[in-house]
Amino acid sequence: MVAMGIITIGVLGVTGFLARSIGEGRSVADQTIAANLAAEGIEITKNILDGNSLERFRLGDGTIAWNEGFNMPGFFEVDFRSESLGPRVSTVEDRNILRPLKKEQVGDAQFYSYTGAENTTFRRSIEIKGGINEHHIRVTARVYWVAREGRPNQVMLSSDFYNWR
Amino acid sequence: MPQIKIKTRQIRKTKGFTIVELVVALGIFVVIITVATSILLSSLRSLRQVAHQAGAMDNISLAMEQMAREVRMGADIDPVNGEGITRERRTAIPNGGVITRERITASNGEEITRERRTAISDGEEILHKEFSFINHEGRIIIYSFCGTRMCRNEQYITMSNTIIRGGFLISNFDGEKTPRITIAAQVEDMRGNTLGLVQTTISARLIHYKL
Repeated sequence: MVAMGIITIGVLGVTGFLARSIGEGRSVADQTIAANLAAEGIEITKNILDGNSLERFRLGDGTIAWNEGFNMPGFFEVDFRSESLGPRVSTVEDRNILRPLKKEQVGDAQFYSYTGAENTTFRRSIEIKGGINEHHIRVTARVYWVAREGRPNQVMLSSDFYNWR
Repeated sequence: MPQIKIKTRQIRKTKGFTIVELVVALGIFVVIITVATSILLSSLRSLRQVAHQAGAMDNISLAMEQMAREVRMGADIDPVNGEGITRERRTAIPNGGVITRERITASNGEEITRERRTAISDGEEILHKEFSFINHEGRIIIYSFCGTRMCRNEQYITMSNTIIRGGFLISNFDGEKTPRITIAAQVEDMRGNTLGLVQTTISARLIHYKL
């Protein structure tokens, strides 16, 4: 009985440790996906801002500001097709009101967007803070997801953009 | 003599195990060891799989990061639709289209140069398997999904023991707006199990060239 007890405790201990390692390993995949989605949010925002500047210089009449569409602080949703920030989703951080990103089939590949068919666990918000002055915008991309064991997770990336041109 | 017999009987009753007891104990022990070993082995197999998964995700992240850094500082981003075709120069024309000067290498090694006039509408969305651009050193770089891996100028940049499927969606490459490349890569192990779908978007910093 003593021998069996020792063996059982030993095996259970090792198995528990391995199970924990496996769980942590799986969350690495979700973290990689979320980090890339957050980087995508920042990059799309940068692309829209650069588009403003291009248009501003093309027109040359000052009708378009460098931060056109960015002068309202708050939380927004963008995907890879967004040509502008779109309507503001919220003025406070609230992951529950964000739409889940969906998997959309394009050709033989899948993409994360808001127009796909299959919901994913990932939700993304883009926070715009422009209150410091009109030549500075702080963009913060947050990606939220729920891990397999039900634990909520979040990745956050921030970037500052200036009207230097 | 009768006394010795009694002692032997007493010893037999108080010391040692019967064959039946030994067989039962050994049976239970073997069952426990077998179950424990199989649990350990399957856990170790899962752990190996998870380690591979983490390695594969690191690898695709690194490949995407490399691509992003190079594309951000590059110019003349262009989807490539045909094999052996190299775009040399693209010029925007007033009606919104572009003229592309292409060098085509035929299978026999012969090279042909031609100019192609293309009208590109904003709503066009085609999944591309490769795209080309001029990097900061002035070299033509082609990133592609080559078979089950990703390539930079036909050199593999992802691991051989991981399957990568996906494509590029490229917009605004007509010279009027800032180009945007969205990369989606589905990562699978060699048995076809999906490990994750990784996606990112890169915005080229072409604005420097425009001003």
